[in-house]
Amino acid sequence: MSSLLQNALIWHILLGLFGICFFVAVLVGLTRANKSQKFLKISSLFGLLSFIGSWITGGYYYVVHYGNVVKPIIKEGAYPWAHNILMESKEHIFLFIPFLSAIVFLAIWLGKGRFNKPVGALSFLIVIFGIAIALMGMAVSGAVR
Amino acid sequence: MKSKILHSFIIGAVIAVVFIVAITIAAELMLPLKDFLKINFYHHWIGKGVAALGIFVIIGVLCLIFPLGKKDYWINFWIWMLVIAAAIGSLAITGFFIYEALIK
Repeated sequence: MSSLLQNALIWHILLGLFGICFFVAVLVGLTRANKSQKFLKISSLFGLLSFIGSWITGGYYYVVHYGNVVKPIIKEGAYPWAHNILMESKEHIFLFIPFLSAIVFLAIWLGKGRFNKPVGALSFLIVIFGIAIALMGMAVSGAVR
Repeated sequence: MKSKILHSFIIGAVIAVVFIVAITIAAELMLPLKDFLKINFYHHWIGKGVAALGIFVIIGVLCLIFPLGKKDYWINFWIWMLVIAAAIGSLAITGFFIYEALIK
């Protein structure tokens, strides 16, 4: 694997984890009695940018390397379901996240604290998706070995 | 205007999420659709992402043109719809791939 692909995979994971952390920060910020709009705005902005970065770097790795090299190894190995169920679900649910993040970002920046309940629920869903996708990614990586 | 921008793009996001679920399942059931995405976008995943982004932007801009009402009730309603669509959509995608891999 080239260093470009290695970097793409590493940044995909790191940016995804940063994105989860920023949306946990949004969630915590929304539950506080004294809500800081500045904190919420910065957390949602960096969360959105992290997930867009993770989308691009992960997409590059997936399209250029995973399908040609990793996928055949998994499908011919002992755990083909790791690709058929986990990777297929992960890659498609991952498509939701930038849109959900963009709406949290817009609702916080334009909504002036008027939509805290549904924005909190949406942030919670983003965190759940992020954790689930990270765990599925770990299982898929384990299936290659 | 800020409320209208928000309202418009939430509707765009709901439709984009529903589209992703529909095209994911449809492309697995109709291989010519998957091939069309591969041929035109290099990879089916890129095709789905680009099409969903296009729908998000086009629906968002179209909703900006038409009157939607400025009541916060409807913005709340559409954010909840997005939560429900994404939650059910993720279960539908996972359930579909479990069915395809283990049951079919």
